[in-house]
Amino acid sequence: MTSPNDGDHLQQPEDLPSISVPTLDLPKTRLSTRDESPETSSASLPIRTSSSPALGSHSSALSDVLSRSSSPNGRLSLSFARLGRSQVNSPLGNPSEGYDDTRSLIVRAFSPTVAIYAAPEVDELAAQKGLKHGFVELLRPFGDRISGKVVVRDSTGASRAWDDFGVHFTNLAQLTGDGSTPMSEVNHLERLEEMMDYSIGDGYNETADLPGQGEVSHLYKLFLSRLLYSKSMSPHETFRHPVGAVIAISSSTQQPIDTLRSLYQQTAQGAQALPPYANPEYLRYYVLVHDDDKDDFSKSSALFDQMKRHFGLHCHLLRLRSTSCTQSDDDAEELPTAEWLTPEEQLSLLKDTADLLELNTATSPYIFSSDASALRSFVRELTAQSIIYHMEQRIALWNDQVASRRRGISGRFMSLSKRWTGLGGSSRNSSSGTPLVGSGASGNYDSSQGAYRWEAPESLLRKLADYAFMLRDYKLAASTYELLRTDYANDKSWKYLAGANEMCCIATLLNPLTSSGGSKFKVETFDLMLETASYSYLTRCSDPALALRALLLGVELLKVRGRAASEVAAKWAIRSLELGLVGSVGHVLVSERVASCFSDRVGNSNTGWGLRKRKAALWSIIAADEWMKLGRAEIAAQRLDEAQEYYGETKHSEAIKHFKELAEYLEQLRLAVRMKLGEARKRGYSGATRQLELEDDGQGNGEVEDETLEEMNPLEKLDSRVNRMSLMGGASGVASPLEPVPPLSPVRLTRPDPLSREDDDFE
Amino acid sequence: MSYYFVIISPTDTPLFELTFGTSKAGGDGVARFRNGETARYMNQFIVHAALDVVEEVQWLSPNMWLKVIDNYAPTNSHISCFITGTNVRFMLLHQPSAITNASAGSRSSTISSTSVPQNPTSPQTEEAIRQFMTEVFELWVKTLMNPFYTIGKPIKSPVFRQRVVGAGRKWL
Repeated sequence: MTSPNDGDHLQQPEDLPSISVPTLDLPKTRLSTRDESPETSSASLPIRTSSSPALGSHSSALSDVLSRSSSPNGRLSLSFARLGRSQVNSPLGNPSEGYDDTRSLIVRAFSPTVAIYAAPEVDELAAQKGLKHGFVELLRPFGDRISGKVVVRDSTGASRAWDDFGVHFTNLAQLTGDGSTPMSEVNHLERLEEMMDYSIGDGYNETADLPGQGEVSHLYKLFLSRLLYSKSMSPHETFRHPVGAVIAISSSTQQPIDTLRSLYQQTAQGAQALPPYANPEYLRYYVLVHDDDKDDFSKSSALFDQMKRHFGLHCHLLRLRSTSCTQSDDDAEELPTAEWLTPEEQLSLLKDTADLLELNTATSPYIFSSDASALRSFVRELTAQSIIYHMEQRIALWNDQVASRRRGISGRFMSLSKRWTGLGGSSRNSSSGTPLVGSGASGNYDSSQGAYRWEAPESLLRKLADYAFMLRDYKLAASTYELLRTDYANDKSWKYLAGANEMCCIATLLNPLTSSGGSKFKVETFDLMLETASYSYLTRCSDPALALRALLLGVELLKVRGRAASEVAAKWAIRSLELGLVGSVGHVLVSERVASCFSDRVGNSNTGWGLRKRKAALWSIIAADEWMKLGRAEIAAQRLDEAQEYYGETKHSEAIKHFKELAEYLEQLRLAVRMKLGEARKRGYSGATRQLELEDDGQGNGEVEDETLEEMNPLEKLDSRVNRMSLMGGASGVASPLEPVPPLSPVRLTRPDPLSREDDDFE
Repeated sequence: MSYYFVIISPTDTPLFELTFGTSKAGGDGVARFRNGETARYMNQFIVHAALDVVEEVQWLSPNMWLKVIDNYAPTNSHISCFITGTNVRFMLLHQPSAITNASAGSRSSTISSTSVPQNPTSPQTEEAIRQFMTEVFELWVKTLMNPFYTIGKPIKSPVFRQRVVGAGRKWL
């Protein structure tokens, strides 16, 4: 999946030489197809023809001879083979993988949250390892993807194994702190824009592969993942409410059991208690961090036994080394960067590591690989044995006690009677006590706070749905959200309503069993749900970040669901642009998505009807124009090529040239892109790959400039070529062959003729 | 409301282009597109992109008048289409004026919200555009009958242009 180049590419130092050859020549071939200059492509050819077949035949011969012996040579050939395979499928995904990529990103964004509440000693231990933010920072990267398969049982008892399951670790203090002041959310979009600005500006990763047609660009993935990950708790959805809390002490903690108890007390009633809308009955998991370098293991082990007696089964003994690790150590391992960061975190991380990047040193600290494996197995045990089990239990419980009562006949009758006559008034637990007879409101909603209390059935149902969603039981989740939609609409709890609509739409679309051809699949319902969600988020709650999230998720999931759905997806993508939810970078990224929505639309059987290639081309050109404005000519060039391709797929591909102004504009844009690209290349400005390519050119700067010049005045093209020929003939005839071909400038273009004639005379 | 009218040949090339503004409700017949200078090529882009929809819609309706078939939200443009027997398409892009500015404010009281220059999707506008299209179709047929006109070539006749302008002034 995308995890390595998803969050990392911003931090990766540009140490190209360390990357092996095959990854290098991939962008090169890509570029050469774009430039269509024979020099670049042919220049890259000799290297490959000279090196790779030799290697390949050599290794295959070796492996043929030595296949039965277990000599190291055999292993060598094996590694060659593996190299070859990884070259084929690692950097470039299949175009069809684009959807799976985004889908998996979306699925993993909604992972259970595990809060961490550690004693100061544990944070100190982490600080000794070079982690400023303490134990969380050490644990966080390991939660992104849990090693091995994780088995989850759904509500019907069927179990499924997932190998990309993850959990999000967060500081408990952060959760409870942010919960009371939901203020960071306001700036979420601004921060996001700032971060994206950086990532296409200074932090632009030149080495990253430009995605091909149909693929999702890494910039958009970055944008989406940062948008999806919000840090603070919100009353209306429980994805960021902790499912469990890890309470950690270290072996150097005095009075360990008492400390654990007091930590627990604080999570229950003290400073770290959750706000009233969040369910306080979450799992507590007790961890003893044993310091391998300082403390006696037998003592810790005895303490651990004591912990187990006191706190039951949800305990773990984590063995870590407290000495700091350097790169030169034997079993050092770089701590991976967490995949899920909020834009603020990413920005601060970038600021912190900016100096380190310049020095070309590693940006994240090193840890011992023994520590890494201990952490990995700890996270796995925590998730697979405790968190998931806890969630499954809760789902079963709530499904039994709350949801099934609502789903049954009597439940329906109750909600009906509540709505029309107020007969169900006796069954309400009317905490606010306001008489709402006939309005259908249940009275659990506290409109001044804008939240339900956690024990209200609406809250529990939402939690049930979210748990099911996080455990990827989309059928249960969707049906529960469906129930909630009407409840929230009756209560006029707008944010909840928007959330339920959003998630209902997404859960239904994520469910692989929802067939897009089925009679139940109606695009209008999704359209309506997105409408409600975006309207409620934006107008009633003025929360543009959530509105954008709802729209983009809907777009991504709808666009692969057949013809009508892709039309709706494009409509919503355009709507999100119209509503002004995105900044300049977001605008161009979403424009690209609009283009891909249109281009993905399939036609009517084998006729060309119902295709939207011209529209896709239009949006590609808009995106190209905007990329130019943002100063990223290489992406603009790619978008233009895509547009060209789309136009080529229409029946009358040349027709576009007959629209005068349009053709002029297109030509100008193309020229601008080429000029900029040429300039950038001339300066050796845009990264190592291009520099390499330049060197391979063997022609130097003159050639590049020449190319753009020819583009500039197509009429003079022939002349200039003649001039160049005569000029080169003259140069080779008279002067030494070492004399460089002078770069052609418009001024000189007019002159060479007499010069060369003189030369001829001279000869 | 500002209009961009184009006749598109069966091979998607433009045969006749005209940009004009509304003449109703005190309009001076000058186009004022809200995207300013970029409108020149953007309108062409939008109309060209709308051909995708025409190709689909033309098989779903028995009429030659296809009504509003597409819109381009970022500039609030709507595209109506009239298709002739030889698959020559009359495309009309219409864009309501951005905001009634101060000078128009005094007049706007007399303009109802359903009047042609204000609301691009009202039945009145649709009817006006239909009338316009029908008149242009008649002019078009007469042009085809002209022995000096080669079918499939752009129409250069100033008389035709004048008459289309006249139709625009009359209906739109």
